[in-house]
Amino acid sequence: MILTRQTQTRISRAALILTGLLGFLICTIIFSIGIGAVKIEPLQVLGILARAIGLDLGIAFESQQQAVMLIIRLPRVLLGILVGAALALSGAVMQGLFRNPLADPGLIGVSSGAALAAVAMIVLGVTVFNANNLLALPVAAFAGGLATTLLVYRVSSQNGRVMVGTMLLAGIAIAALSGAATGLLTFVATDAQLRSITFWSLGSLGGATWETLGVAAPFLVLTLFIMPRFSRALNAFTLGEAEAGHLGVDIERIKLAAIVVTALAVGAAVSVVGIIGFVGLIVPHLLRISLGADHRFLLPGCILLGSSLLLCADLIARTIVAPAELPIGIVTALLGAPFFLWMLIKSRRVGA
Amino acid sequence: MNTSLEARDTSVIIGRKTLLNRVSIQVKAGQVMALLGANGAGKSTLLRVLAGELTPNTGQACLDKQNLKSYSNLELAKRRAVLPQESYLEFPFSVLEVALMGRSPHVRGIESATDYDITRQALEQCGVLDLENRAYPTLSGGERQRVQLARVLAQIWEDTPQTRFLLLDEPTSSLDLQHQHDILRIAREFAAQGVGVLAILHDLNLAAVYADQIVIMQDGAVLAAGTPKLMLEPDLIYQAFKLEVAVLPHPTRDCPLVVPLPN
Repeated sequence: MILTRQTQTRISRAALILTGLLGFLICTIIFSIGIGAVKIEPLQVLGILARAIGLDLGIAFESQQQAVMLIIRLPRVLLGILVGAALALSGAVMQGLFRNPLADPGLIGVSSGAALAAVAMIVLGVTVFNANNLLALPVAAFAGGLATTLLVYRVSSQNGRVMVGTMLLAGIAIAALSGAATGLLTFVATDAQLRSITFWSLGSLGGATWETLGVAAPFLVLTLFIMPRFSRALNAFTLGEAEAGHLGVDIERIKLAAIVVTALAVGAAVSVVGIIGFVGLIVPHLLRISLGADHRFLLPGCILLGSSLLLCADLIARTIVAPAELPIGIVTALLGAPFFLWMLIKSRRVGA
Repeated sequence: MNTSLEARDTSVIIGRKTLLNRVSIQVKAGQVMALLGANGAGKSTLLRVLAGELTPNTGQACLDKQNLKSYSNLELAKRRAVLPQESYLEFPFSVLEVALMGRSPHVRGIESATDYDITRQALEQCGVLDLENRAYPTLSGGERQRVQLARVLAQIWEDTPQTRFLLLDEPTSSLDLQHQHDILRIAREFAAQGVGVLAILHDLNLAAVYADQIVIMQDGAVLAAGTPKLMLEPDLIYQAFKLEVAVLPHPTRDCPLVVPLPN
């Protein structure tokens, strides 16, 4: 195919930025694995990984380092990558679909529903399910997230057509409602339950094991592969829903698919790590500044930057008050909210 | 050629309000049809029906005698383009990127050199090629409208075996005098290539100069349809717009000139 100069510049510029982001992600992964109570040097990380697949690179490491890396840090890092990527991608997809740069993946009710279900499990669930079953909580949260999304969807669709504006409002209303129910449950909770509710509602990667990774990973990986396929349709959607239809996009199918995939991604993420705010909101914004608004470049960028930023936030969360751990939601909000304000002020100055 | 985009006895009822009442019109290949009428007469609703965006409650919209419902969105997108009344775009796409989206029904993967070529020709024709690297949200209303027109033209730029159609919803609403004429001249050039054009207009004199056919709508129904000379006539205009006018011969062209006579 013959490409014009502009296409080449555009693609090579995007490729350069994406390569840079990939490099950043790899560095973050190595540091995330290496930093903590037990230190592991970058080369040792490679050595342990090689040993795990049966290769000996001749790099010395202690068996304690190997155990910490393979049992504790690696599943945590992998979960961080998948959750960060899924949240950032979902944010970009929702912003494109709702044609609103301030949209958030929680908009369709999925996070608040998952939170309600999780809190209900913590406060009431002990008698319903076997309390020793670690998977009961994520499964309940996931189901709760999907159920509220379904409710929001039903309220805002008519004759198979989704009214996006109504959906936005329905999402807010249902989030408020489940917030109230969550509050009520918090009110009747015991002190011990309150502590786990707090940790859960502020998010933490601390519960990451190969088992929890195994529960969430299939959904998260699936959504990472599906979402970038929406990019051309999302580009058309930014012009308007009717305009996207005029450009040949099957709008009802895309809306439904985007909502389902987002609910799966965010539901799966929230169910294993709790609510982590601001990643889905801010990563797409940061990328639009450098990559432009074209979703074909933006969505891959979200995978790379979302995962690296979440890993950084987790690194801060678990090292800054070591040996204790800060909930990661506090870190993302502490860094994300001021950044968001700065962005609002800046856009007001431009007058956009 | 026996191809056309037509509404056959179409009605649109939303709630208890009849927006379109048994309307039949036919947009023919190679012709510019102007749709006139007071606010709320049903012009935009009719355009949305013809675009396939709105399914009529009764009657049907047809392309080449076949119900629009039997075409996929993509099939329609390759043959007809729609200029919206206004377009908000919150995201920092460049002007070139916005216009390039017009090519998307024809592209799989990444746009080819031809797509860029066509898009830049369309931008050139609409007089906005010098803005190609500007961020769309920073443009003025008139510039945005011309970029949107370029996008829409790029969509149906290439000649196809089947007739293409261009639907314009108030294409001149935020444009200065010169650009109003430029846009309708472009519409005429497309009609000369065989494209069927339907434009909703408010300026009767623009319709007089550029349209082959005029359809006047009132209260969701067609009040009258015919050539500009037949349609631009004081009694009919009074009926449609409740405005006294005088109709004179145009000083340089063979068409009527409408002069409003406000009391």
